[in-house]
Amino acid sequence: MELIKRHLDHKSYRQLSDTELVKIFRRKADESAFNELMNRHQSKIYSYIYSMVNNPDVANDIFQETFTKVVAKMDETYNEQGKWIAWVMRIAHNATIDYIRKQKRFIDVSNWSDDEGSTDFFERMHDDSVTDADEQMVDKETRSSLMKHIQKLPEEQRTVVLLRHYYEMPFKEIAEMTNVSINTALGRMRYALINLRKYFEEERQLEMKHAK
Amino acid sequence: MQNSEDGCIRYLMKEMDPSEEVEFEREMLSDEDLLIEVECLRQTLHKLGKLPEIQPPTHLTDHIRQQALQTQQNRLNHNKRIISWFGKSVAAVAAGVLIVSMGTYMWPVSEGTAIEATTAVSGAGSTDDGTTPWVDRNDVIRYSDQFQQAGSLEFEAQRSNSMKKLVRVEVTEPWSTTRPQVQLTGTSN
Repeated sequence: MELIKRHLDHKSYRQLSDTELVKIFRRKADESAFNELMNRHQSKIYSYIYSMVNNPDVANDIFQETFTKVVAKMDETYNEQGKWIAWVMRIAHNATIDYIRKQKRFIDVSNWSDDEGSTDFFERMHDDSVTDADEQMVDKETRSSLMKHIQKLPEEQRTVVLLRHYYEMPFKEIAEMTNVSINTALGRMRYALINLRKYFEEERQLEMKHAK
Repeated sequence: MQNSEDGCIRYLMKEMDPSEEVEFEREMLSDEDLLIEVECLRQTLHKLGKLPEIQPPTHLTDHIRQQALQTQQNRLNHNKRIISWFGKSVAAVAAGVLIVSMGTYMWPVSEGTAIEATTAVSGAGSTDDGTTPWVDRNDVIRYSDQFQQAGSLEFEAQRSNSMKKLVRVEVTEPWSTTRPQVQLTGTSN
């Protein structure tokens, strides 16, 4: 009976909006409500952080810091009017940018290796959507290559690209979050795509050269 | 130029109104360079779609969930304690106000009784009530015992008036064997 009740509760929580789940969690410290919120958004938040810092340990720290702040500030600064995920993303973004600016380092992409012993994160990922082995290999390489090129982008362009990709955030919100005008945000996106195209082209030419 | 550059992104990201979209597509058909740029950006955007979603480690999410529940539970308990303390404070203040109010209500009743007693005391010393001093057959002046306070002004006034009326009695019979003494009388005989 307990299992059935738990299953029904879980099913009913899936139908609730983020705002409703937050209300339930605030009022009763309801475990299921918080679990549902985490399940919905954790991968996108983590992906954004990881893509920005390119380091799993740092990504773990920032991810934990983000949610510590989320829970601590939920009663104070989240007013249940706006989207919860946009509010959480703002916290994640600020934490990530704070880390990057503290480091003030140029990310050394020469550490990325195509050797078998590589510790590339994406090579350890298994993509269930691709069944053919060759296709899977190509896909992994594309993803690895893509992440490499994303890391090459200037921080402000990388931010816009990742916020748009992972959260489908309107440019108006991206502009507000990054404290720039909407035209500047659009411009950054355009230049990010131009730069990525350039990096892909350079990589292709390098591969052709090596192939000869 | 700026408008068309931003237009490329807005068009690709579907952030244009339908009318703006129609206008922009018309512009692309007439400007080959614009069309090429939009297509190049579209291809790169398509590659971005391969960016993966990465799951955080399970131990990390378990820890976060535990911490979140603990923090929120502590906050709720703390709020309950504050509300309970506040409720008790309000109840104590309300009880205090009630006691003071009752005391204030009862206080005027005691004052009224005291006023009545004072009135009774002052009334007792009035000569209009028939408390005039008198002399008994032994020629001893007596005052009414209705005076509650010997030191009252009324009493003193009447006593001093009575004393003023007393005169010395002259003894005319030489054979009187009584030793001469001063005798006072309030009568005029």
